[in-house]
Amino acid sequence: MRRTTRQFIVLLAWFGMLGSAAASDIFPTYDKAEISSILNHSPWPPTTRPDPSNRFSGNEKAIKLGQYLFNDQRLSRGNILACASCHQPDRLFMDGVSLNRGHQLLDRHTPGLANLRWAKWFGWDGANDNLWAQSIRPILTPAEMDSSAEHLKNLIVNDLPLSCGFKETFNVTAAATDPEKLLVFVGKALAAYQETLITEPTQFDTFVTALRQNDKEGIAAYPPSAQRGLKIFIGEGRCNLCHFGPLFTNGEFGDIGIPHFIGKGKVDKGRFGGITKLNKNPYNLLGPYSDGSEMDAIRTQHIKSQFRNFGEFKIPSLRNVGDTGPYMHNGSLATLEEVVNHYSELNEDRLHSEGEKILRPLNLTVLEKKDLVSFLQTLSAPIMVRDQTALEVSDCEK
Amino acid sequence: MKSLLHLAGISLSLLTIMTVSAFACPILQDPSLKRISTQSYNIALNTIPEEIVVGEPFAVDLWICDKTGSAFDGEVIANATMPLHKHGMNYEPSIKALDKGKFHLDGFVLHMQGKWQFIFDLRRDGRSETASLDHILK
Repeated sequence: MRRTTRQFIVLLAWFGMLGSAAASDIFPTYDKAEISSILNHSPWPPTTRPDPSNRFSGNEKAIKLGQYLFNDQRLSRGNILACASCHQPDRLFMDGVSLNRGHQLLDRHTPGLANLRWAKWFGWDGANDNLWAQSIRPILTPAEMDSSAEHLKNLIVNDLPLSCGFKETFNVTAAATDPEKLLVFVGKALAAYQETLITEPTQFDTFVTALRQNDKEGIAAYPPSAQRGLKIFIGEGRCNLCHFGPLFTNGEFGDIGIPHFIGKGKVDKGRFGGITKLNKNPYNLLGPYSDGSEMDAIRTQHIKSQFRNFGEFKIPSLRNVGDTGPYMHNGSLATLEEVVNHYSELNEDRLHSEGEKILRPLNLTVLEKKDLVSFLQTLSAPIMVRDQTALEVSDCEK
Repeated sequence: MKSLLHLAGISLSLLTIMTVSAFACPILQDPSLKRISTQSYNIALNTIPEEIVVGEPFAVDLWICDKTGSAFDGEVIANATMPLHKHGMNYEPSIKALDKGKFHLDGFVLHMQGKWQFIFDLRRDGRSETASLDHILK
């Protein structure tokens, strides 16, 4: 290679490095509409109120019993699986695998349990409209815990700490309780515990506080790459249309072109199947086991099954998204980079023809993809988990 | 005598106000109500709560009067759509016909920011007229 050519290449490389260094240091500015969009993702945490459909919501005894039950493998057939077997506390209440196995291999990825107290629909297909019914579902599902109301009654009646905790919480003995009612009590205790699983404020939340107060130092403390990613998220990416609000989800369902085949000739109907299940579910908010009023069931009363629901899945919250892969309803994307690539190179042919015309390929540059991932990684924070304490039996022995 | 006439006057005014309130037609000039119309009908509406929030259920009260001044006694079909996204709501509002052209609609949920369009289809005597109202949800 001639010397002048070599010098030219070195020069190009030098300017290239300068260019990328400069790009990575650039802080974006925000107009009024963008600031408003960003503030829509606050405050964190949102205000809380007890679940009106669960009269044990917020009840300390129910929370304690629920935590105990959550970690108890004896709830399952064969005593081999607890809720915590898939929703592992040290993995942000997920399992880190694409598809897990209960009594059989599962079709859907294990979702996280953080911040569910603000959810309106539960499960990838929204087949449940409340957290206690959602907690009952895996207990009874053959592919998961494959248990029954009778099994739970037998377990609780014959176990002193459990029967004592049950009586202390629900003011009735397990022995005198109808198995289905007992199953609902168990669901409500599990829900009361899961309501306590709330993520702490994130780096993004700190930035939003700084932005609200026009605290320039605080704003500058948020990494420039994350800020540029945020601009894409609320701007050309339009991610915030679905990933809206403090939870980064509008709580509804969407088809984003992820295949929903689950074997030869079998498809996962997604939300379409979920609505059918919801309407048949005796544990829904319109059923006899809800402690709420008709007004608390307003969504369930008015839900509309539409053809476009076929292949739609729940829009997940993005809090802790950086630490909760794999992603999508079938766990088919391993990393955040793959998720961003999916949206960048979206195959529109895979979208439902009757579906929402919101998605189109974002065609992001390499730097834009990195920025978007940087932003998403700032949505992580630990989940506050209380220490499990033993169920007291002394009160029952009096 | 004078006080009796005065009392009668007050009673007449009260009766007039009560009649207008109870019958809803013609539609009251209430600045808090939004107004739309079709060829044959004037419509006033408000949302409950007044501010619509993304993803939160709300209700709509409608007052519908024939332009001749009588209350609408037909059928109402209601929906809300996002024309640019080509989708509607995930929920189907329930509609309760109340007295004198008033309708109460429950179960609206607008699940995205952006331009929404409320659509009210008014059906009577085999004829249908559609009124729409744009709403930008922020």
